Amino acid sequence: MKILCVAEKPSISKAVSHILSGGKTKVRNSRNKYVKNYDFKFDFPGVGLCDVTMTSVMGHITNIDFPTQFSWGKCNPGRLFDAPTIDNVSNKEVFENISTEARRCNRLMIWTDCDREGEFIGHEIFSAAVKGNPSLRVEDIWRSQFSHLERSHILQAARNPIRLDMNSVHAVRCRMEIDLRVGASFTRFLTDLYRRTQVFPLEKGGFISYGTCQFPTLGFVVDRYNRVKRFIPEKFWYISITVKKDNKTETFHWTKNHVFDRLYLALIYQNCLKYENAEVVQLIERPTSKYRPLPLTTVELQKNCSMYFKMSAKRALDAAEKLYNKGFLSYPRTETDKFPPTMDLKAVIQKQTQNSTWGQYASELLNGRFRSPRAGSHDDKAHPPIHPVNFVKLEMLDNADEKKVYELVVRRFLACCSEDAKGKETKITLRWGTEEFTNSAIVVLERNFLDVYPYMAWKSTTPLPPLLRGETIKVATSVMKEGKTSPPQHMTESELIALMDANGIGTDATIAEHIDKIISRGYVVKVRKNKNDFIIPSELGMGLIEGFNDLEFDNLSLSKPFLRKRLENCLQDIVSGTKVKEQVIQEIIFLYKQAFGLSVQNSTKLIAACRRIMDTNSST
Amino acid sequence: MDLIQRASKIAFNPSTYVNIESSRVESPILFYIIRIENISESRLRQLESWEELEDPNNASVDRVNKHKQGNNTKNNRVIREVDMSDDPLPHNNGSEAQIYRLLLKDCFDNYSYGYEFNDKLQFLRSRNSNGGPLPIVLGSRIIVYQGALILNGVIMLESAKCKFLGTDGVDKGFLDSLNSNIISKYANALRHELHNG
Repeated sequence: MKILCVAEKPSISKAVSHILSGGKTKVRNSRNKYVKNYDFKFDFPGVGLCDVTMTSVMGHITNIDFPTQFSWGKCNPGRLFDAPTIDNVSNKEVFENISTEARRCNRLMIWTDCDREGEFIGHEIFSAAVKGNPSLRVEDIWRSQFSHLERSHILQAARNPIRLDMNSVHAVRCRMEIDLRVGASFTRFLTDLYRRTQVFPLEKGGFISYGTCQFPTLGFVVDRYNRVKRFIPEKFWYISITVKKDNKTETFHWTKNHVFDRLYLALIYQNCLKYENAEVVQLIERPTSKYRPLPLTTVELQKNCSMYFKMSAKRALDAAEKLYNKGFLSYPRTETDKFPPTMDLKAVIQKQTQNSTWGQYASELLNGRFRSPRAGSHDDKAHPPIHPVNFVKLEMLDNADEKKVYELVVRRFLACCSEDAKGKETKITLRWGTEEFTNSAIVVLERNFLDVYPYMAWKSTTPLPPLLRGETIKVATSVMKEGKTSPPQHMTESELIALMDANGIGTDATIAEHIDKIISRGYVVKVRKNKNDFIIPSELGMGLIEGFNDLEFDNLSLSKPFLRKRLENCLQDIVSGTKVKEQVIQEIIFLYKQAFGLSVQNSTKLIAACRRIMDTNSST
Repeated sequence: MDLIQRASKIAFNPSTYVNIESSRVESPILFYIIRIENISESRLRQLESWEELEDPNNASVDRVNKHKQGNNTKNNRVIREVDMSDDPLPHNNGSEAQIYRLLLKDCFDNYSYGYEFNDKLQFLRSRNSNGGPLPIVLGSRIIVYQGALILNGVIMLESAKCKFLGTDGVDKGFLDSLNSNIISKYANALRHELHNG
């Protein structure tokens, strides 16, 4: 029996064939210089010793497009919502390699990444294979389930294949078709409009690209920018008091924080001034903790890299992907923030004991300090949280990004398996007249996970004066203070990731791409201020969003996340089998088509908004 | 004569008390609540909430505790800010933490202010039974009892010293004029205050 195994990337096919063959492979070149074919034998349960050829693709090998009569300039962009589509082979060499290798095989085994996109690529591989070997049937495909390249895990995956999930295949196909129709129609419409009216100088061959995720992403940046610009500071007032004991003066803060009404504060303050003393009405001493972090998801990894290392989401994910391809990390695209109960966490810790910096800490965990990680509430049912799989010395890694990401993942994992940091909190509340004032102090008693997780800080504060419950103490000073509200910050990348996630825009895996895209399209720019990178919109980006905001969409706004979120939810319904692809395409395309019609009718508004932005900017 | 009738006969002219630091209400007074204002929240933030009601297509959520993000699937609300701190503490910004100022009118057309004082007035924290955006219908009546504190002509309202009576049917025209277009009235007033200090 002959089995053809196909992975999503050359590095995975190399690593998997090395594990399955026990290092005994024969390597053949394909017509593509990166893709190799590995021949070896493997004993599949129930089938026996088989001849195996393992090869790979390099991502997608086909794409969808419109027939030539629907190309740019040959038809009205609005027709693209209903135009026929054709499937093209986008990587001929790789496609043909699979067709050729499939000729003599009895069975196809898919080793693409275990996510929706991987499932779809698995089906593209099947299309290539069936071209060379029409006897192959989609029901007979073996689909391996794996999350990382650790030897026993891969062997387990090889021995327990499942079927290709056709629902996921349909969901991706649905998303691709909608993205194509909506993206192409709006891109052509906007580009033609901007060129015709010359409202914005487009470079020769330049275009205004529209994407169903890109625009809501840009919308967040513009929204924040506008809020910063429109911000008006407001005064507020509050009372602050100090008391003195044992030569120690301590400030206590008003429990009402502050008010925006000076009269109210003046009346309250004047009323309190009748009282000379304050009474200790509450003295609480209680144990407190700083929780160890939750297991690491893709979104958290990207947020953390952005926050701790100023590394863009795309760079963070690229580095994590490379580390996964090399077998050092688990699959980095995951929404899961709880470890499966069956996972041998101590075996993962064991591998880290060799490290010169955190090895000692890892050993201590194994010697009794291990704690079960906290469990979050998300589970994508496909992959565990991101964790280290194999040990590697940092100096052996290729670049600074990989080093930082690997170290973060390892430290995060060890922190997850540690005890929370422990401390003691003292909180004192004083009552002066009718008002209460409070202050608290923390003594850190055990640092625990903080010892291995320097990205988080928790420090002891100055102790409070030794006051007793019920004690009356003279108010040393009291003041009515004035403050003012400060503007929101411009958007940071980590916040944008969090917002996209919270609003259901993009999946954990694609968030980085969308941000990268609005930067490369020139819709936003990164600016550095006080050592922080902020994302602010360009004139073009502002003009586009303001234009769409000016159209009176009813629940269809193209600059808001609702439509895309609805699509993401529908895709999930296809995966779970409650909706079919055709139904979703019809439903979503209908909505976008309406939005398109409205945009065309109101194109003067779109242009007027852009002119307004440009005029305002040039006048300031 | 019952209490409400008696209270409606008593006038409260704040100018009489404006220079008296502290005094007490001498007998129950009936007031109409003409306006309520939150003095714990910035006007800009309040305006954003009103604008959300003005244009639901532009609705937004201001602050989302990150633990709740996943559950926030209500349509047409854009989440605009996410707490990025490591350990988000529960923010005490629910209606409990707010302090309200009431514009009051007695039965003789004298206007005065009343502040929430010392404790929380429950009628300002229940949902408006008519589904409106304010906790009460404007024009509702309140009796302020004898002994309530007056500081420089401003009435300090405590639960034990006042009673919320709701609306009186005979005031329909008055109630309608106060409550009609309330969203744009509040939003416009806040915009005006913000831009004119």
